[in-house]
Amino acid sequence: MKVGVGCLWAAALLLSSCGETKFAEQYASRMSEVLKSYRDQVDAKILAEQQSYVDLAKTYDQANAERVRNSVLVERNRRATATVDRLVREKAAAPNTRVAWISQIHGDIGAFAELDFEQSQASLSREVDAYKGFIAGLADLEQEQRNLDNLKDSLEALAKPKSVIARLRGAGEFGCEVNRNFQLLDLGQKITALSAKIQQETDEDKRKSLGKQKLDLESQKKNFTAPCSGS
Amino acid sequence: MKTIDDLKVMNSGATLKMEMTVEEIDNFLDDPDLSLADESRLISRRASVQAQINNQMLVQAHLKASVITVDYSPKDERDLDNLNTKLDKFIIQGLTVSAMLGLVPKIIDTAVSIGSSLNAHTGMPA
Repeated sequence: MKVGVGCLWAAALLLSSCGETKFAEQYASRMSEVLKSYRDQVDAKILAEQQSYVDLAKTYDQANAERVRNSVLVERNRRATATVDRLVREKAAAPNTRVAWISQIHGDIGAFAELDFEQSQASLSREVDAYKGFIAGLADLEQEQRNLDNLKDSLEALAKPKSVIARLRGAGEFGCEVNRNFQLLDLGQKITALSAKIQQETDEDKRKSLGKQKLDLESQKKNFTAPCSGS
Repeated sequence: MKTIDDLKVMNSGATLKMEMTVEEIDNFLDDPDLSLADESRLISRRASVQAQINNQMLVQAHLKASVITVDYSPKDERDLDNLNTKLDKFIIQGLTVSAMLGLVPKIIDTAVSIGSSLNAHTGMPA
């Protein structure tokens, strides 16, 4: 009778385990579909991000060119103002003396032209795609796509029904676990019963004998505490 | 409700308006009769406008990367539309130098407000 009930329990548990496996496969399949949709969204997002990085790089490049141009404008204005101030001061100091010399003005213009050329040269002669230098150090977003693909592949593998050997191995593990838990339950009940009996026993010799039996059972119970390994 | 495309158009409009301002300032700077003092002020204004153009272009790049916009309240939408209309009313052609110098800060302020509003509704850092 006890054996029959045990078999029924084992069969019921085995069936429910099969049901759970099926559910897990369906769940993984559904998750894989969700992940594929997510992958599509990530693709679109990464494309937009990459385009925005290119735009940002162009903006930085343009800002740099404008900075150079602005500094040249400021320098031209500063030098012109300094020249005018000098001429006014010299004229005030010596009203009857000639203060403006064409050669000196030409010299000033030449010096500025040289500076202008130096400043602008790098900006004007830079490569058409110089902006790409601003995005050189950016993290590769494609890694994220690869990680997603790996995850999707894992879920797809999980969603596929297992082979017969895998099922048998799973069934073996399941049976071992059922047996282990049953033994733990049985031994636990026996130990509890013995403990109660020892407490009620008045004869010292019988108490010792019962104590020895209890120690044996506890030793057996220890052997079943570790879960069944997959190997 | 404002979409990403609406915001892009507004952002491009603000940028275009400021680029036209820079162009007009450059025309003034080419004038040989321009005094050094006026030239100095115009260069300063030009740098400010250019900095704001760069900022608006950064906003535009962030807009392109955005896939969602946080909903605008009806008041936010009205405010943004008003700013956009205000920007359109700034006529920069045919101005005198002093009028241009006075108008530039208003154009920049309006563009900054538009840019801030766009950033605040795309989940992007300001």
